[in-house]
Amino acid sequence: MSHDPLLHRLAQLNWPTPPADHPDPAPGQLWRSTWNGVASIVVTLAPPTGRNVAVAVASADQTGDEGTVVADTLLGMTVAVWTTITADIKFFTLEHRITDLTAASLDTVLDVRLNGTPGAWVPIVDELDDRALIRADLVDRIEALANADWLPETPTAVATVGDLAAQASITPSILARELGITPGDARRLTQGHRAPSPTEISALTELLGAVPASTATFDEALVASMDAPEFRPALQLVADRHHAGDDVAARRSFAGTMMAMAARPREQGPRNWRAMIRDALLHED
Amino acid sequence: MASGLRDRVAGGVIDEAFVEAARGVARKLTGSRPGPSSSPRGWSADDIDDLIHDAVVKVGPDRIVLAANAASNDVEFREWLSTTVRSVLDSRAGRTPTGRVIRAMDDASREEPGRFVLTRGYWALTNDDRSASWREGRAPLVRLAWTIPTTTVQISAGAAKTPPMAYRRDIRAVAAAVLELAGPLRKVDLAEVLAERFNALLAARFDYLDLDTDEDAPPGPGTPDIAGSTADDDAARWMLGQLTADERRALGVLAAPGGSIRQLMAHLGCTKYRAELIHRRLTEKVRRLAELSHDDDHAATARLLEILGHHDDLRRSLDQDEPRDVA
Repeated sequence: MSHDPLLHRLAQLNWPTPPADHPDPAPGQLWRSTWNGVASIVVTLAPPTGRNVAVAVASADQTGDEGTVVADTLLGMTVAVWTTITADIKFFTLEHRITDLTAASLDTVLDVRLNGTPGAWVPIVDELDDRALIRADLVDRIEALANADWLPETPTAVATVGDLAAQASITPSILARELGITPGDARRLTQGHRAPSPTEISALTELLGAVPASTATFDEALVASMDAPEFRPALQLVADRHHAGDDVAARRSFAGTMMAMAARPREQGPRNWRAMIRDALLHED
Repeated sequence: MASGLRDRVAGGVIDEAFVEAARGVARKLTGSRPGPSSSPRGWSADDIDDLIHDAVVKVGPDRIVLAANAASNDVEFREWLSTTVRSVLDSRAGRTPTGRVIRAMDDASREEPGRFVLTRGYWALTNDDRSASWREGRAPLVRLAWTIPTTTVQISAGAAKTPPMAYRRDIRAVAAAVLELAGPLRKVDLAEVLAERFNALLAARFDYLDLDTDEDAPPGPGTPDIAGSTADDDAARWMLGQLTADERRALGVLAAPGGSIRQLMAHLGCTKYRAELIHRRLTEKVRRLAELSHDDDHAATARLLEILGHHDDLRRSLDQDEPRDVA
């Protein structure tokens, strides 16, 4: 135990301890959202739709515009919720939950957002108003988070490895031999279950006579399951251990592995991706 | 980047790392300021600890935990901590935003005693015989205040020392419009409206310079005064105090050959949206300075850069004697 007198004095104060947990997103939760070095605190406004959840930006500063509400939380903290700065973000950007808004505060937030009830501050009508700088900073952050994704972008090349291989009458076993990979891995490449690596792309271009689309097609349900906040810490660990901290590469690689595992014979019934991901990530803890 | 300090504070854990970070920030900020009255020879270790404790109590542990959750990394969190401690230092120096604005209003009205009258703590226009009855709150008054064109952007931390060339005229213009609508207003209520209109509440956050300016009325344009400066120099110094830290950086980037929004984005590490906003604000402020000094925008920019250069030299020389805050 430290004998630092300042630490002792500070420890007497009432410090809130956020749960920092990872539940499924639900309206009224206050989250820390981060991706690629950008962070913001956000309030979830609605249940998730697909991979997305609607959020409003929140701020520790007690300032805002005409749509900003001072909201109370269950931990006793108050946050300024900017209902004029909202976005649909993918919920894999939700790092951990800080706390929840009180029911009354969530009602107020939704009322201001949906009905235009005046918030706690006056509108920002002049760009020389310093609040415009705060708003711009918050907008910057939420836009970066709203544009975040770990799935490959729409490919510029149209033909997939499978298309080009079929045209060139190249079988997976030839592909396996030429690339120095297993036939099963080659099949996953031709079926679009994994993306070719940068070195494989150059070898494939030479072999197939054209640049293949460098995307993999992952099962949508797998992607949505991997996006769940509960998996973020373990996937972050995978990124740190095996991909030099590259979250995107880690998730793509992990999704490829999961697709390969899913291709194995299994019992009848719908696939439980969450259970499979949980099992696969157990080894990383 | 690892965020050990930020991570722990975000979880509500206050340990030696937080205390040392806060001390580092406080030492850096107090380096160039006179010590508290109990320590006439400077800031003792106990004074620094008292300052940190005051800052934490004033801001509140809950906001510190939230700020740690909102910060991207340790560097951002330390910047926030620095702003917080600076606010408390300003506040200790008797420079609370509202107090500052009340003094500024007093100064501004003294120059036109026939226009404003202060009766039992209420400001009013001299020809207004209404009784105090404004019940609509502050919002409509702030909204109206923002419609009044002014040269002043931000009320200086040392308001009483600000040259009256444009500053007090602006305060009077806004105060007159607000009192015209509201009728007599309590001193503190009018000050709060003016504080919002002149960005007094966020001064510490945006790191406005507190330049030591002359209280006396300046000489005529272009006329050297005793110290060798001119009214135009005074205007430029005053306008420099109206620029945020990012705007001062932008001034150098945009004035350099080939300076562009893209370069500004890279320099400030921000998106086009924010860079363009800063560019527009800076352009507007330079234009206002040019109007004051009857120059064109280029000459006004050059004058600001010249003073900024001197100021940066001064700051660098001071910083060399202060402990560095290594993130």
